[in-house]
Parts: sequence; structure tokens; C-alpha cells
Amino acid sequence: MDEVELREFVRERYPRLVGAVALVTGDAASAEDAVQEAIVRAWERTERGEQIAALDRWVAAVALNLSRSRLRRLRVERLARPKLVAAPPVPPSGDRVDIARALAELPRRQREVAVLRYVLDLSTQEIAKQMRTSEGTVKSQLFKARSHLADALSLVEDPDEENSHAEHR
Amino acid sequence: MPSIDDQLRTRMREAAPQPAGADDLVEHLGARKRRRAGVRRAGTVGLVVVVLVATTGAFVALGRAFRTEPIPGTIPTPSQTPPDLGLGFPICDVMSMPITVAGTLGNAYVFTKATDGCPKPGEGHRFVGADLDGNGTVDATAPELTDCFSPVGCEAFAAPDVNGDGTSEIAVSTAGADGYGVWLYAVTTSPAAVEPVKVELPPGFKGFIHAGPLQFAWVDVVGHFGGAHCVTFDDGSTGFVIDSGDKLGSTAEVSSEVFTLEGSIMRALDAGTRTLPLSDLPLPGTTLCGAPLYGSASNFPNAAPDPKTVDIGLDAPLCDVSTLKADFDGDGKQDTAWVGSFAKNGRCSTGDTSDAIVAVDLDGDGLADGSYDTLPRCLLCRTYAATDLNADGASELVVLLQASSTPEYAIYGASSVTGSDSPGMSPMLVSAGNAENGFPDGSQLTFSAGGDEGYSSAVQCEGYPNAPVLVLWRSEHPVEGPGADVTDFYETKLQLVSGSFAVVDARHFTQPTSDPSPFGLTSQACGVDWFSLA
Repeated sequence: MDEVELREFVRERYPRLVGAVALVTGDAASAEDAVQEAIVRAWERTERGEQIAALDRWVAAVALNLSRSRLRRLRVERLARPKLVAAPPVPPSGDRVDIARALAELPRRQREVAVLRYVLDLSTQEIAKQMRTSEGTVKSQLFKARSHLADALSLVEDPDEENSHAEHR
Repeated sequence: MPSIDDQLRTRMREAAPQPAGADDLVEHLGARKRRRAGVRRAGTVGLVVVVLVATTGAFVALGRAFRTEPIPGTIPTPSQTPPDLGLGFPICDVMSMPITVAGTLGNAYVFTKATDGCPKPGEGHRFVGADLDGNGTVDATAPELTDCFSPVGCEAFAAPDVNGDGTSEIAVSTAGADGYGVWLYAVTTSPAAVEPVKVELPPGFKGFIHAGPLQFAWVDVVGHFGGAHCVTFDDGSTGFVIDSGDKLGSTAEVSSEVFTLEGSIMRALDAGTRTLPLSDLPLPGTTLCGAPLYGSASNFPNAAPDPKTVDIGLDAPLCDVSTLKADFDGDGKQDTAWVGSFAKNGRCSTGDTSDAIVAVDLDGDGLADGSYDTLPRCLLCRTYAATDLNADGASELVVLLQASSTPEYAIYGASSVTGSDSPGMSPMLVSAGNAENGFPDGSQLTFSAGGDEGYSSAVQCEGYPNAPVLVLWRSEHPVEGPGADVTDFYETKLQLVSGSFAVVDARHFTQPTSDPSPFGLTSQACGVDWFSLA
């Protein structure tokens, strides 16, 4: 990964990756930290001559793995606290609060599955590979997450779409 | 009206927190990368950041883990019985190389002060000294060497004459992940001294070598190289050139800085950058200004095998190897199972998740048999336990897939048990599965123990050892808000039959979250301590 590729990746993919990880962790500071750490690791790997086929997915996977560590979260929160105090937080919009709350109600794995699917557009197979689980488990988790999010956000589906979705499932 | 999927897609993307401006993020990442290198340097894995240029491609990270005993060079090296060098204190781990001092043959030594035995390479107090007249005693030493990284430590690197004055300079190296960091020492006879060479820069000079003690990289890896060579100026004098470059496809951007050595002062004369085809690069080799390299560098760029690797006869040696011995095929003999990750170019990377493999030696020749299975993106994967899960006299292998607060496990069996066509170790699959409980047909059996916010899991066992049934528990509930007061429980019983695990019973029920859980996170079940990471 040379500088041009790195700058392009940061410009094109960084915001969405941070957003995705933040939706899982519920904390933007720790998400930024995890994504940055993942990018640096990817950078080091490519310098060592290793090939990373899908960089954004690799970074997402590593960032989510990193964010799972409670110790890391605590450390990042501790480091981020002064910044948070110094900069008054911008009140999130109503919908952002609703989404965050609905996601927070999900178990972590369902939350990850939902974010990987709806924010990062990963397929069931890709999610299963990333989470090292079976596609059946992913489908099951996604189904539950989708149902909960639809209820929590009062989402309504066109009957035709629903039939189409049911058939597709 | 958009589908629920589309609505979720749109709303979640809009709701995703956006990071602050990323104008200087690349520079920030570069600094972070340097910090990581610094952290690794502070640890047991040697890593040196030698050259910093003000671009993102300007990081020279060195740090290679070689075996602790230097490879015999053109002329040799560590003395088994430390010679008496007249130092007045015991020494060990001595490396020597011949030097020329104003036409007289002498020797340079790199040695460690022995205190209660000999410290490991990279530890203790290590010095460079010189015998100026070849009489077997050290006439001068330099201040203690620092930054001698484990596991190799500092070595005698070469004895070039970089200014053509007829007296060798002494180059000392420390090995890192990708190559070497090299220091230079000047030798003088009157008075006898070995002094570190220091860089002096003219006012306003812009180059990539900083003022102060000289250190340069000796590295040639994919994407980057660093080295040094001597040149002869028009007036017949000798200059010393330090090169650094990033290989970019068919060309490389090469930064070079030209010096002249006067005494122990390396004065910068010129610096520049040029684009060269890869075939014309001034790559480092096995000589420095015509002087041969010693120690582990004598094979440069082919590193000695990493001492942390284990060779089990596959394409590359394994790193981070865990080994478990048990009778996996039921022949009454102990077999060996390994979990490890392939070394890259003979070296072990550090710290990161990486693919691992599961391999086994069933015939006792010390080499892996047949095929191996790959475990993608392992986080501390390792062999965990061996236990007979179908009472057939052959043990199954439990592999830890992820060491965390929720460790995940997989079961492997020898091909004679799983019925696989390929000899070796195969992952156990689920047959007659139960998708609702998370064990669909045909999937690899993986499960966890432990827990995190909102979910937990455990392993129990029935009928062991005569008719074992694996009982896998999982529970989950929203962490807070609606539904948090009710927990879903999934209990799945699986039996190993004909090489795969069949779900023989499964249930799903709910109970108030405040009620006691029907399972504990830790257990001793089917002969294994689960969720025991100690």
C-alpha cells in the first residue's frame, strides 16, 4: 500500500468504517482508534509483502476484533475522556438516537451482523467468514436483528415487498 | 415503500457517527505506525526505526528475529571459550573480525560482560572493542552498545575502510524484523580509541540522516530497501553513501546522502532523490564497501531460520506453534498435533491475527501427514485439549480458535475417524443439525464458552467416557431496554457418530434474566476444562 493508495483508502473508506464500528461499539472514539489501529496493521503487512485482497473488509474485521477487548475499550475511553470534556458533544439527531438505542438493545453478535450487512454491505457468506461462524448462524442472527430493529424503529414493509422478501428467504 | 432492509440500510448509514476531519490522518497514521514500531522495539522483538523521511513511505522498520547463535561467516565469530582480551573482567558471547589499522592487522571484538554467567543475546552489557596491533588484547573500547535487540543481540557486522585512509572502521549491527540497523565506529591509534561515528550536517542541510550518532539500515524487502556503499570522488578520495528507497512497481524512488568521514565525524556533502529502475538499485548485499559481512548478516538477505519456528515438513516452517500429543488414530501410539501459522520468508511476525493451520503427525516421523486445515484470522489459536468424544479409543483434538472473554473452540479428528479422503486432521462437521440453535447441517462445529455483555455460553457433557454427548449452552438477551428482562436459552446436544456431530436433542426456552442460569461459564466436561485460559 503506497501513499496514494493509503490516502485514497482513508478518503473513500475510513468514514464508513468508523461509522460501522461505532454503531457496534456505541462509542465513536474507540471506533476511530480501532479502525486506525487496523489500518496501521494493514499498512505494516503490505510493507512486509503480504497481500490483502479486500482491504476494507480486512480492516473492518480487525477493527471489530480489536474493539471486542474490554480492556482496550476502557483504555480508549480513559484516553478519550479529556477530549470529550474539552469538546462539547454535538447532540445527535433524533433518528441517530433511535438507531443507536435499537442497536444497543441487540446482543453484540446480532449488532455486528446487522452493521456488517446494512452498513458495510457484506454478504452472508462474507459475514460468516469474518465472524468465523456458519452462514446458518449468520442468517439466524440477522433475522433476529432485523426483526428487532424493525419493531424498535417501527419500520413497515410494503406487503408485496414482504412477500418477495419471505420468498427470497 | 422501500423494503425493511433498504430502510435499515439507509437509516443506519445516516446514523453512523462520522469521524472528525481526516485532513492529516495519513500523517497521524504514520506517526502511529512509528509508535507501534517503538513499542515493539521496547519489547523482546527487535525492531529499529532507522530512517525517517517526511513522507509516508519513509519508514524503515528493522527488526528480525534470527536464531541466537550467529551463522559462521567468512571468518568466524563466536568463540566457545572466551579469550583473555586483557579487559580485567570476564566476557562472553564474543564475536571477532579482522581489521586493518594503518597497515597492521588487528581485530575488532563485540562482546558481553559476563555477570553470573552469560546473559541471553540482547541482554546484559555489550561492548565493541579493538585490538589495534593483533597482540590478543583489547586496546580500546567504545561506550556500551545499546538497543541490542533480542534474540540476536548486537553483532560484529563488517570492517570496511569507508574513507580510504588505510584503517578500518568497525560496523556493528543489531538484527530486526526486516534487516539490520548498523552503527559505525572509528578507530584511532594515538591515543588508542574506538569512537562512535557521528553525523554533522551543514546549516540548512536537508537529508534523511539526522545529526548525531550514525545509524543506517541494511534491509532489502518487498517494497523497500536501505543500505550504504562507498564511492570514489574525482580527486581520488572516498565518500560514503547511504541509500534508502521505496520500490514502486518497476521503479524505485531512491534517496541518497553522500558523506565524507574525517576522524569520527561523518560530514554530509550532498543529498538527493532520483527514480531508478529496480535493476539499477544500490541494494545492500553481503559486503559493505568491499568488506565482507559477518555473523547472521553473512547470508543477507537470506535470513537464518527464525528461532521461534518449527519445521514440520510443510512449505514453510510454523510460527506460534502449540503442540499436543495424544493418540488421535487409536493405534495405541502417541501422535502429535500442531497449530501454528506459516512463517513469512522464514520469519515470524508479531502480535497480529493471522491464518493458522492444524496439522498432525500420525506415523511418528516428526513431519505433518497429508493435508492440513486452515484457520482464518486466528487470534492466539492453539491446540487446547485431546479427548475421546465417541469412545472409540482415538482422541479428538480440541482447537482454541480465539482466546478472549468468549473463547471459541473447534473439534478436529484424524482422517481415519472422520472418513476424510485426505490423511491428516479434519474439522468435525455437524450432521442432522438444528439451525435455530445455531448448528445448521454441514457447518463446521464451533462453539464457545464464557460470555460478554448480553450473551454467554458453556460446554457440558453427558455419558462420558462410555457414550459421550456434548451439551452446548448459549444464552442471549438485550443488554438494556425492551426485552432485557427475558433471556433466551439454547441447549443443544450433539453426539459424534460416523465422523460428524449429529444433533440428538435441542431446545430453546426463555426465562427471566434475573433467574439463575442453568449453566456456569466454566466447566469440566468430556474430559476437558472449558473456558480455562490459564
